[in-house]
Amino acid sequence: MPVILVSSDSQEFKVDKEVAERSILIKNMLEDVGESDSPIPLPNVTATVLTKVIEYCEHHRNDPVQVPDETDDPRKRSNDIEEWDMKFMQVDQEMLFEIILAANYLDIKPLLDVGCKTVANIIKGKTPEEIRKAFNIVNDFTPEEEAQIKKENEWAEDR
Amino acid sequence: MDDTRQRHQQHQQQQQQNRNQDLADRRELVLQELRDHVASHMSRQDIGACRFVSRQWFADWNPLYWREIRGIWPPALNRHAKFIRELEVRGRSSDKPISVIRDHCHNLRSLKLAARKMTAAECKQHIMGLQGQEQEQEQEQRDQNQSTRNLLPIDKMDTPLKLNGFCSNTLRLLELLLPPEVCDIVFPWLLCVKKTSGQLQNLRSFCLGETSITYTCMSQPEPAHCTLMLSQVFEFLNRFPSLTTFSTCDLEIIDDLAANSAPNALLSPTSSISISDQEPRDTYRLDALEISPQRVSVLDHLVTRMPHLQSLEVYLTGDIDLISHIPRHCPQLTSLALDMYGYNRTVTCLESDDLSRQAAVYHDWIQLFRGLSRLKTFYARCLMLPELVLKSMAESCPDLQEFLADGDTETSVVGVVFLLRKCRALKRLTLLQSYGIELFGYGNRGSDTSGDVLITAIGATITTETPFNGHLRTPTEEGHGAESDQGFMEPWVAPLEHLMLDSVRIKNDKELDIFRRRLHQLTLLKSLRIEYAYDITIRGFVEPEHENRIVETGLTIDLQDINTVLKPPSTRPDDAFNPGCFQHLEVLVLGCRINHSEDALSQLIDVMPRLRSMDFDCQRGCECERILRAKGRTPSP
Repeated sequence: MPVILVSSDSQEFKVDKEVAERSILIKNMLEDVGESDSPIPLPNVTATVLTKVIEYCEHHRNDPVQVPDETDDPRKRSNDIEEWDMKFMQVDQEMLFEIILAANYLDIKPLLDVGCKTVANIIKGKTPEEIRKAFNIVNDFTPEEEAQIKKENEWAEDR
Repeated sequence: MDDTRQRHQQHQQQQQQNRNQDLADRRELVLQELRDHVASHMSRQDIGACRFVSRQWFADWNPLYWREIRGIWPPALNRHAKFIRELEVRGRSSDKPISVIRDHCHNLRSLKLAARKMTAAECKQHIMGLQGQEQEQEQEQRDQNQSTRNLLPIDKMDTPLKLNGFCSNTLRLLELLLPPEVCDIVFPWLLCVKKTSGQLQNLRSFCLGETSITYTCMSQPEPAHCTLMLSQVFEFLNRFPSLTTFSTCDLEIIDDLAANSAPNALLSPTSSISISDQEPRDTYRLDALEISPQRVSVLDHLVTRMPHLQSLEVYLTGDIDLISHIPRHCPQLTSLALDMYGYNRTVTCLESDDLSRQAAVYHDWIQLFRGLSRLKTFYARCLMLPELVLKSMAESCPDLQEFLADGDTETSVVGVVFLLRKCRALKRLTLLQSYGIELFGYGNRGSDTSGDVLITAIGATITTETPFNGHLRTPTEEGHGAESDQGFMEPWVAPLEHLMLDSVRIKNDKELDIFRRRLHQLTLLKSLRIEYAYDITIRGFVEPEHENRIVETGLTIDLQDINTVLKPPSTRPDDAFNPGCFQHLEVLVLGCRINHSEDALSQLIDVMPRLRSMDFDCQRGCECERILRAKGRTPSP
């Protein structure tokens, strides 16, 4: 049975219920309203972003529910993104952040994980100046502040 | 017209700048909202770099940078202590950090402190905030001269407790490993804290243990200097009703309750127990318990009041009879750890031919597992686990996922092999003992005497129909003779993902081939660790003819070729073609003491596409890490 989703800019998207329920938010909404043809409004998600989200959910419609592996490093890895997901996330930064926000709002944990891992990978291994360039940030530290932070950073090893 | 065009261009530029600024603002907003999630995928170094980007980023990322501190004490901790949520400290008591925890770390959720050499006086000063008379006088003098933030009034429990990081209401986990004389005063002090000040309201997990006992194999331990009374334990549990995990490690618990050891008698009107504080309640919500009971009555008193208990760890120093009480009172256990350090064990042959005698001697142990059908993890420390006991575990615990036997435990090889052939859920196996090739499989029957020995050693099994009548069978009787002649290797059904052994001794190339064939069957393996891997070469992973090419010529082999080479010859029907071998392997640690060339290590990594941690010779961990990085892998510690 198809479900109708309505983006913030009033565009309607008809998707299979199985696909829509990859979003826990939508799943809960459908459970609350029961059998109904009423469209589901998503005021926080634009049509452009919703298109991408639906594309992701379609591709992963048959994925099993994620079970966290207790043996995993508590500091989760980010180098295990599937190839399809990696290509899916090759978008400009604006779209990337929109997708993350949408995944957070719609409660699609796997998509949120992939999005956050992608952001983490953008930051990983970069110097502060490279991070500034990547995100268009201005350095507003005084030299004394920078020296203090540098000194505080020296003790840490990668643990 | 030109003016119009110019104004239009300026307007467009302004709009673009505004969009860029909006984008930058939104980016920062997203990162602020989701930085926790992003940070969970980053190293401390990367988070440290984020602190350096701008003042706003410093404000956003600084709390995350300091959120977890483990094992090392940062010099700037005082400034950022309020951000620490998880702290793990191991060190001397005289180090300043202990007092810093008390005075500055007031938002901790988890605190683990191991201070092996702390004295009682130091504990009173640094943890409790109490000071001796001399120090009191000095402190009073300093008070007159200047004010100090860290000044703590003497013997005034109220004021120090409000500022004491060890007693914070944010704490959910408190683990203290201290010398016995310090445990003696800390336990009642925490009781007093809870009773008088209402602190530690949210404590869910508590662990108090000694650090001064040194372990020696099969010898008498030092006596436990600190003991607890059972009434004290009940008082503690009554004061902390929200606890789900309670551990006193190997501090011996003495039964000081009524002479009548029946648990229900304690609740009778004629009970000699003092009312309310120390009187055991009907139930406690604990799901994990770790204790060292002096006698079985201690265990009975506790576990019969814990219907939700899932995990039990027991240090057995005296009453061995309590083994039979565990399945009787806790059949719902999913995790069990038994430590018999210091207990005089009856040494019997692990691979005894007299299984009837073994069944009689180890009756309680066999029944232990028969009564724990839900067991998922079993940790054995200083135990004797002969064949029949391991067989009972394999047959009675279908959900067994993890089995660990420490270096002071002796295990039957036949029993371990039975486990591997029976346990369909066993994913993690840690055996810190020494093994030969007999663990890994059959060899060829024939002129090779080592092969004959292998079959004799691992071919003896017990029929499942008559488990304890001691009838021994050989592979020939089981119908495996023909296959054995061709080198049949019955596969392990255990879906092993993590295998750790203390040492494996391989004697010759034939045994190396058996080792390799067994490894090729373990297609789900994620980590393989062998501390002392004697004479295990590259041949232990790849075919010998291929190994020679790698070692001698250093040729580059692509993955397709590797899989072709890994396909076993047709004369070995038991070796199922497994293109997936090593496909999941992420960690490979072998202390093999063989000087493999960099090319050989490099080619080995090529057949393990997910490998991210490798140490082939303890001394060359850095080199392996460099090779991994060169291949685009992100090494993990």
